[in-house]
Amino acid sequence: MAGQSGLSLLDAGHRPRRYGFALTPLADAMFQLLIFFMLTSTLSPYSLIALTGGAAAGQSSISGQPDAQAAPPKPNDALVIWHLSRGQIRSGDQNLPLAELASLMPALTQKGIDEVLIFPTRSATVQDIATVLEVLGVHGVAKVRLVSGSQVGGG
Amino acid sequence: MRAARLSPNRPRRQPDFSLAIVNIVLLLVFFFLITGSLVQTGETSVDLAETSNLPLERLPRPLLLIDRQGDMALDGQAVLAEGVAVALGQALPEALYVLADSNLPADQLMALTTRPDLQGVSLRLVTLHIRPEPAP
Repeated sequence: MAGQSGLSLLDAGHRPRRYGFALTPLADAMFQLLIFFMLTSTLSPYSLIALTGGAAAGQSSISGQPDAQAAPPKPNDALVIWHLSRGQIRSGDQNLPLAELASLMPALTQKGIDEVLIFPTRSATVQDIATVLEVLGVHGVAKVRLVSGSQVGGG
Repeated sequence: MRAARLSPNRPRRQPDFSLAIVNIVLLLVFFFLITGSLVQTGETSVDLAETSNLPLERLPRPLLLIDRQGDMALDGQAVLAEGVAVALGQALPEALYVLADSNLPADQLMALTTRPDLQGVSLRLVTLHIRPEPAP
């Protein structure tokens, strides 16, 4: 009996020591990071519309070539001219609310119109520009030109 | 009786959930890193133009904030329209992201696009993505 206990004491001395890995500090650091990112970041409900640079609306590729701003439209190009004012566009003598612009687009694309020239009037806002560019971009209008410096007053 | 003698009653080890918690928290950190954008306080003060059919994007830098009065701030620092190019530095970035108030007159935004000192910089208007309404 005494020999047995002596043997066990000897064994205990040679038993390899186990090193534990404490995960609590790691979890603490993770929680700190999580709280930081939760408080400082916002989920991205943003979209981008290219105003210059050649990319179509909704494409945020920054590798796009600068658009040929000075190139005049060719005679064969199917082109429409819109005067953009607050909440509506005027094409010729017709006024159309911006809310109905999307319904007009199939007719335009059927006519083969691939270029739109937009003159924002003094009453137009950034929201109006965003709405028009969004609709044109979604319907695949290849060329959209925003002409600044228009002195036309509008509704 | 013999079995009890052969295998002494060991205290049952409680399962360790620490590693699982760390994994989950790490996944949440990755989620916020990927989906979130760091914004400054002033950058959320403008009412952005709303769109609903464009793809979601992150909010990159440099960010030019234009409030309803037309006052500008580049990455949090107040600038004048004439000083935007200078504030952008010698090497102009490829793109400048514009956070403009939705009620800002369009001609003020257009004036920015025609500034000669910003030629070569692609201007991109940041809009707020609103979930499209389901078709009836």
